[in-house]
Amino acid sequence: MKRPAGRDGETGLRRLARVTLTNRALSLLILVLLISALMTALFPKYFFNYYNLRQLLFYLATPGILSVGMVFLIVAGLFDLSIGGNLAMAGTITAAILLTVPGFPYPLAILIAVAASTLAGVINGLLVAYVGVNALITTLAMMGILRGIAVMLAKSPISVPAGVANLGATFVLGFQIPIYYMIVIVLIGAFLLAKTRYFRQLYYIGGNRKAAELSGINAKRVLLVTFLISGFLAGFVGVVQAAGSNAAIGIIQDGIELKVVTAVIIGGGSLAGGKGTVLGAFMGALFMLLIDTIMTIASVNNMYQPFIVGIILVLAVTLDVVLQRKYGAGR
Amino acid sequence: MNGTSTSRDWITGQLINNRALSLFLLVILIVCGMSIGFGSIFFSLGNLSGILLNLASEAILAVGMMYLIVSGVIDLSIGANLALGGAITGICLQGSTLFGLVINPQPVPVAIIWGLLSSCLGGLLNGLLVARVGVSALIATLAMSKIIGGAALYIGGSEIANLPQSFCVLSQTKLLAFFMPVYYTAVIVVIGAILLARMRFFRRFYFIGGNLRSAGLSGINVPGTITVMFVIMGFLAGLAGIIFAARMGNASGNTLPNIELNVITAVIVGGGSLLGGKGTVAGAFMGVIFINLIKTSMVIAGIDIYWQPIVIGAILIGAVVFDIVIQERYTVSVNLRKLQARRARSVGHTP
Repeated sequence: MKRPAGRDGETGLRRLARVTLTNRALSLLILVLLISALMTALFPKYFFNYYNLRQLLFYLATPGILSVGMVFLIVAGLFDLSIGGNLAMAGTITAAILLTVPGFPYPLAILIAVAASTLAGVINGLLVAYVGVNALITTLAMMGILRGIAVMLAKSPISVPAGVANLGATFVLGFQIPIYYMIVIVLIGAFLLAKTRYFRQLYYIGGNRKAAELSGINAKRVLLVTFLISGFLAGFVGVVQAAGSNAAIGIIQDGIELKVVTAVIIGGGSLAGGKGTVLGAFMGALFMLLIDTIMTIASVNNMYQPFIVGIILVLAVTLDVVLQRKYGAGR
Repeated sequence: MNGTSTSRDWITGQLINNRALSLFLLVILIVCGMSIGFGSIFFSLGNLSGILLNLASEAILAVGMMYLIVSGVIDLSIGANLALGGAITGICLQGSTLFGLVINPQPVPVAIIWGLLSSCLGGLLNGLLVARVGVSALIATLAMSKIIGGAALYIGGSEIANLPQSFCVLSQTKLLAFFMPVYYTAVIVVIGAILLARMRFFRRFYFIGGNLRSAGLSGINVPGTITVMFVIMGFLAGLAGIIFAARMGNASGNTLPNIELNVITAVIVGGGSLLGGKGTVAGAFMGVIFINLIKTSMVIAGIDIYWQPIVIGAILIGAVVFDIVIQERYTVSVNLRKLQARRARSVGHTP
């Protein structure tokens, strides 16, 4: 919903400010570029070189892909806290099968793992959309269950056979494969959410669920599909993660769910539903990773990094509220 | 009084709707089962008093959390506030320098007051973010948990060891086979329950949770009440942290892992509904006992520790599904029956 161009008496600069501030993906992009420029000036040898950029994009793959699934849910007014446990389970299932059964075809192991994760997503969807259990409780409980399964399968790292590792660690045109997965998924996700009628329904469901249902939207089914997608992407990422780091362990990516939710909120999503874009969420994930990198470069003790993330989150949501009051609802 | 209700209906009604009661019966069942199965390993004063001691922190937190959940909000920063309370008390007892300020070792009551003040401040910040700025409670308290947690870590280092004995006796004394924290917990739970059930200010939590707009329109100062609620939660978290630090003999700035999850699970299992408007302190307390009993029983039964989150998660889902599927349906069917009975009687009377 774009605002009509040029309100009364609005000078060019003010309009530019309004357009930038209200388009979260755009503001984040500018912010990211500004920060990167600043960091390059301050720490030239750390920052702007091909190797670092490539590693940055590689580390971005996991939160980047997960944020696509998450933004679909947040737009609908829900969220999924089980993605961390889900992805750990997928990775550990793959590794555990291949470890216990020698000679098991690895594509089949991957398929089983991703299917299990998708099933977890479906269970989430059934409980939340059809039974009506609160999304926080359901996904919180599932997170515990899935993470528990993952840790049971792999308390200590299980190494992943070469066939699987290739899926995550090979280089194509100088970049690791996961980077390409991420780009494809983000682009497809952005297209689906913004341009297809089916997924645009999520905005209506998030805005006013009752009204959406009364206008003929089968909210239950759409939400089930959305949770299925979230589960599937978590499984996919889990396998890719295990492949890329050459090992699967139960506690992998602990706390990722909160980082992804933060990324989506920073990227313009609102927990109340009805707001958010895939590109915004992706920029949010990029922004979070950038902050992570800066803290590492600035040698901020690992212990205090969550502190900084917390402050950023508070600033982001406060800014959101202030902008909402100033420029009104509808964006 | 409706002539068709029977005493059997009342019993069923209580079992389904009175969560504290049903949990209490379940707890008795489990205790009996475990005692039969594991004899004196389980059913000994030492074991039972140990269970109660371990759940002290969670029970104190659960009182505050039930207030919040009844009002329809949540607090994910309780672990951090707990750590902060303990850490501030610790450095006040030991003396330290903080941001260039020299802090001399303080007497125990003063140190405790400083600890409580700091955790109340944490709660106040939560309350302001949620009630005045309008940020969702989930995000606000999540962010604050990282911020307060960072502060607690910085202040406490990773351990302030060897707290003075005059402080530690507060938690380490034994009275009639139970350590003091058990008694503190009992007092707090009882006071918490009475406040929620009897005091007008606290009963407003149910209205706020039931329908926010109506509550505001009926004259309740919603932002003020919510702010106070978060301050109470902060206070209780600091209190739990101080009691815990006294018990351990050191004040670590580290938060207890997963305590938020455990407390929220206990409160939900204990009858609190995340939609707001439902729940009792007694239920929350029974929820804490129930969850801890399950965990301890699993350990005694030799079940691998990795099964715990799986079992707890399943119980959580089960509790909520029970709430939605059975409790709601039962209430609807009882109301329907009462309506039909009323209609049947009014037909018999000619106007």
